[in-house]
Amino acid sequence: MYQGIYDPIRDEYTTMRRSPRLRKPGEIDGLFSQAFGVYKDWGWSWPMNVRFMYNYDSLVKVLGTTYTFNAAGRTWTATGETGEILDEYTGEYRPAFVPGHNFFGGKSFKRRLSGVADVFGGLDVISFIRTGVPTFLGKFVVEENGSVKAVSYDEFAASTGMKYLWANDTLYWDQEALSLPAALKRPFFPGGNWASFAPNYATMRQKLRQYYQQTGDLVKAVLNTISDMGGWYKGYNFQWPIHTEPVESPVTDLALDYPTLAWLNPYNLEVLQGQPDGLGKYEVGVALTPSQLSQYPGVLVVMTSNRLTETWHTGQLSRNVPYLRELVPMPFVTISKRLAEQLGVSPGDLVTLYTARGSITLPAFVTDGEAYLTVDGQQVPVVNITWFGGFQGNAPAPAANFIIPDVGDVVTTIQESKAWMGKIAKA
Amino acid sequence: MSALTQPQTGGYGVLVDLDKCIGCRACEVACQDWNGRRAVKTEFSPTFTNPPDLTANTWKVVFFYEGQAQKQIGSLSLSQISIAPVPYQCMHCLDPPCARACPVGAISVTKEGAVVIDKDLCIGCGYCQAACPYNVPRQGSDGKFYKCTLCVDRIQAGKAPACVEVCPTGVFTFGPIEQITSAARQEAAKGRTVYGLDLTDYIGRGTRWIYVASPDRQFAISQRFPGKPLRSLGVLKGVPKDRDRILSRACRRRLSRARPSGMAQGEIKRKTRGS
Repeated sequence: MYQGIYDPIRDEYTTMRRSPRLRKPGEIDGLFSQAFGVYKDWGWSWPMNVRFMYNYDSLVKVLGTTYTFNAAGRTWTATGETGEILDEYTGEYRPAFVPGHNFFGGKSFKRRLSGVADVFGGLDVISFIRTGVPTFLGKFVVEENGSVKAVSYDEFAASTGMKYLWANDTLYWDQEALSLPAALKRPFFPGGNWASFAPNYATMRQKLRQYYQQTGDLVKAVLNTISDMGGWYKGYNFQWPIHTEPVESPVTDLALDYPTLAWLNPYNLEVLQGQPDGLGKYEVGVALTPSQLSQYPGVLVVMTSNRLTETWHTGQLSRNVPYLRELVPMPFVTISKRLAEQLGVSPGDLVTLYTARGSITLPAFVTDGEAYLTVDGQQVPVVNITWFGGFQGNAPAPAANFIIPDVGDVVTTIQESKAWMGKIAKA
Repeated sequence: MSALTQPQTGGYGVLVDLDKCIGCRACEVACQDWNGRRAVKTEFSPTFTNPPDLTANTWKVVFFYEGQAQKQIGSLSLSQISIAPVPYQCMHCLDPPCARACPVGAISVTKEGAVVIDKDLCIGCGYCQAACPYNVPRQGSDGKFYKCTLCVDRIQAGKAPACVEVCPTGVFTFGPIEQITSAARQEAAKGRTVYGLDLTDYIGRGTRWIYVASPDRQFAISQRFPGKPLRSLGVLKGVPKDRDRILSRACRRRLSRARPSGMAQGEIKRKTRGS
């Protein structure tokens, strides 16, 4: 996503550029820079140094002209701001978004190389930054005469002419990419149509409820169901939508009716059993039912998280800008007035948020604007945690990441940070 | 009332359309940045307004008010919680009471209509703050009082104030006061709430910053602004009433600051002339 922040060919951190000049006609975005007064060599912006998003036709609409220029040995015609990307053949910059482009271009580029999957080989970035010598890990998967073949970087560069593909960082590498079968795996799950899955779905839900009623333990019920059925959601191939509850659902009846998809992922399964790699002694578990949080004081709530415009990501950059830190010096939790009255909390008081992964303490922002959910006839308050903070830099503060469930979406592996369960009490 | 202030016509004004404000606070930061003010070390603010009030280093603060907004969409009437931001700074009264109150004439009205404090003349007595119906001037760590200058330096260079220029949603309309006033009257005729016109004689009946809001955000105006701007007696309590004693004390303080360290009192003239 942040490809372009570093230009390895010229060894330049583009975000650190501070050139107060407008680009000249003949350069990439030369006309755009001149006409609209945009300093394109001052820093860098996502994506591809485009400063105004979805700006494909500004030159035509505003100036009534197209812009023709040369870059990376070719002539291009632009209708708007194009941004720039490293050319795989020459290593020079070429326009990124030209007429006819769409945002799926990147993906079809990968498909052109592979025809099959999306994880291949690439530059060992860490060793490159340390030594300046590009070394390549993994394989490049190419399609030849209808069959798929994994080749080394040198073979790849010799056959395609893409000598600077590594600088473009369009492909990425992971441990799995070293083995051909792994590289060839399809990104989607196997399975048939709805008619063949529906009976499995019904049986899975029935077994889950049955085991839960027998044991009173949803973790055991999930594991038993998996071993009985030979897998979780067996036969579901993601091609039609279904409703699923979050991993930590406050209403167990719904969690049994609409089981989470998360246990399709082996890492999530480790989290379910409290034993993921690399986290040692820390609590990492999940609470599938409210009874698993019974040792904590306070009121059961649904937790969600959000970012603020004043903070960028965890605030590593924005927390160290004094003017921005002045506006929002630390994260806080938004709670409804009704819940605040119940807890005996005044605006600005500290509250502690308890989850199966430990607790954090934050000040409360009290408003009538925070919701109470009506879930299956029950009233469940929602609390909203601003998501930024960390140990270092100015204004260190507890980050919501400490208490967000460590389970990822099955397809994207994005953390389940928008709905989870916990308890809240006055600190 | 006083010869210190200038005629109330002419100059510039700003129309603030609160409906357009998204509360991003770019104006607050731009103001500090342009005027070279230090960032203020703040704590969590339970109202989200941060710093919670104007300071000597924060001449513009966006206040946040929560209220019930009524929306009418066709025959449908909706009620929802609304948080309304109000960008707030010196209102630049047409006849500023602070300028009338200043015992040393440090506050003047420029020909652009900007009410400005001359830092070099200010003696830090606090009369301006006591006289201000909006409680705007704030004392800095050097004892002197500071507030918004309407970016008069920018206006004189042909630019709009920093906050006006930086606003991403076009909340502020900057222009000659006659245009701003007539635009505000047009908005009032449309049934919108307007603040800054036809107020008390104490401030010259109006301000150069005029706020406009639709009914669903008018609660922010009534919470932020006094309906009848008069002398803020609450603040006055803290200010001693003996003006002469304050003046002489302030003058002594200024003299002692002007004196280089290591010199005894009374030596100033002799030493400086002799060197």
